[in-house]
This record gives sequence, C-alpha cells and structure tokens, in this order.
Amino acid sequence: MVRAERKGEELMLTCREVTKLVSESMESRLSWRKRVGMRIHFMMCVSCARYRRQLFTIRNLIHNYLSEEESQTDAGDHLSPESRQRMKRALKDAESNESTEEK
Amino acid sequence: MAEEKNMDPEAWVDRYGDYLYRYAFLRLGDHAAAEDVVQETFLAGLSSRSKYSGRSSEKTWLTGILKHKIGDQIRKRIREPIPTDIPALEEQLFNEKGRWKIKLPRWPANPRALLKRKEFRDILTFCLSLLPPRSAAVFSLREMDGLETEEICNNLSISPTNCMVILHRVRLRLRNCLELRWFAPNAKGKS
Repeated sequence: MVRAERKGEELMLTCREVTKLVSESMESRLSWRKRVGMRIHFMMCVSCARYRRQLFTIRNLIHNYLSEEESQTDAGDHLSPESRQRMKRALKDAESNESTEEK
Repeated sequence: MAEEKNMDPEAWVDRYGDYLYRYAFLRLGDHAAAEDVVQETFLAGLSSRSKYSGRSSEKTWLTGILKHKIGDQIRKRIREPIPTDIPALEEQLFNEKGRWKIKLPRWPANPRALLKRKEFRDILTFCLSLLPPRSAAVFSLREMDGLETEEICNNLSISPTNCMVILHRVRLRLRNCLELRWFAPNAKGKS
C-alpha cells in the first residue's frame, strides 16, 4: 500500500501549486492526475475555486474590452492634440520629401 | 490605383489615430511606446501606399502594419531580463504551507457590465500597464491576439517552461491588481 499512499500524497496540492495548474489548464489539457488533484482541491478550497473563475473572468473581460473598443470610438484613451499635431507634421514632412525625390 | 489618389495620410491621424493608439496601448502597456508605433505605422503606410490593394479597408490595412510594428517592439523587449519581483508577490499571497493568506472574495456575477464604466476600464488598462514589458508582451500575444502558447514561445525564443511561468505570474499579478483596485470591498477605484 506504499504506492497508494504516495499517490494520495501527490493528489494533495497546495493553493500555490493549484494556481499554477489553473494557468496551465488555460493553455493546454492537463494530465488526468493534475486534473483530479485540482478538482479535489477545489472541493475543499473556496479561494482556489474562485481564483479559477476569476481568471476566466479576466480573460472574458479582456476579450470584450477589445471588441467594445473596436465598436465604440469614444471609449478609452485618446491621442492628445499635441501628439496628433506631431504625427500630422511628421506625415507632411515625409510627404514633401517624397515629392521632391520624385522630381 | 484609384484608391491611392483618394488617400489622405494626414486625415488618417483623425480617422484612425485613437483606434490604433488604443490597440497599441493595450498590447504594449505604455503610452509613449504606443504613440511611437502609431506614428511609425502612419509613416510606413505613407511610403507603402502604392502597395495598398484597396481590397481591405484602410483601417484594416493600417492595423496590419501596426501589428508588425508592435511585433518589432515586443522583440526588442524580449532582450530585457526576466523580472524577479513577482516571486515576492507569491510570498505575499501564500503562507509557508502554500495556502492563501487571505480568503479570496467573490467577484460580481456579471463583470461584462463593468466594461461600460469608464472607471473600471481605466483600472483594467492601468493594471495591464503595470506588467513588466516582456511579460506584458507574452500575455497580450496570448490573450489579445489569441496565439497558441507554443507559437509565442517559439517566436520569442522563450522555453515552454518559462512561457508558462510568465503567463502564470501575469495572471496572478493581474488578478491581484484588479482585486486591490476594484473588487476588494474597500477598493478605492469604485468611488
């Protein structure tokens, strides 16, 4: 039964280890052992179960933030008027250089 | 080439400037760097406008150029050393037995509604901007551009193990920042 005990030990994960596994599970499918270990931990630990849910919330927030940014032109940050002026000037300079080169 | 004649590079600044700037800022987490890549994009657009086929919209075309410029920035940053400050965060969050020191509070059921609030969006971008540049790059390629982890690691010559560690730490950090600034019962951001 030594083997069984060892297995049992490996399935007992700390919160610190579980947070790593949660991230790993967002990248690729975990091994059976890791998945079971994580599930068992979630049953006993509200914080880690919340941690997992909150990471998926963050993922959704970022995705939705991007699509909302793309649909609402007045949302979020703007270029400052000074930067706009600077960019227009840079474009103008580049354009006039281009046309003199053509001549 | 009819499109080329209609192109007005200076008007791009007003038409697409804010959009491109936000696109870049979210991915680079740095206002000055975002402005720089947008300006580079406009200049690159100007000199390559004869190659613009007119098949995609001007905005899509410029966004395509911007993506390349952001990629260049990210590759530059990859040479920066791996930050060592994040293990310290793990020490703060977990006790010596590896347990959470403080029970995590519940977050609201419908966080999507939060995105309608400017204060929340500002905090989200603020928390993203606090990430170390190299980590921010890996994270944005993964979560914003939806690339596979393997692809990102290969392109940036980071070992798969390091890539996983970077993503894990970014998530730990970002969650913590959002909690402190917004979700915690006594967070300041909401007022």
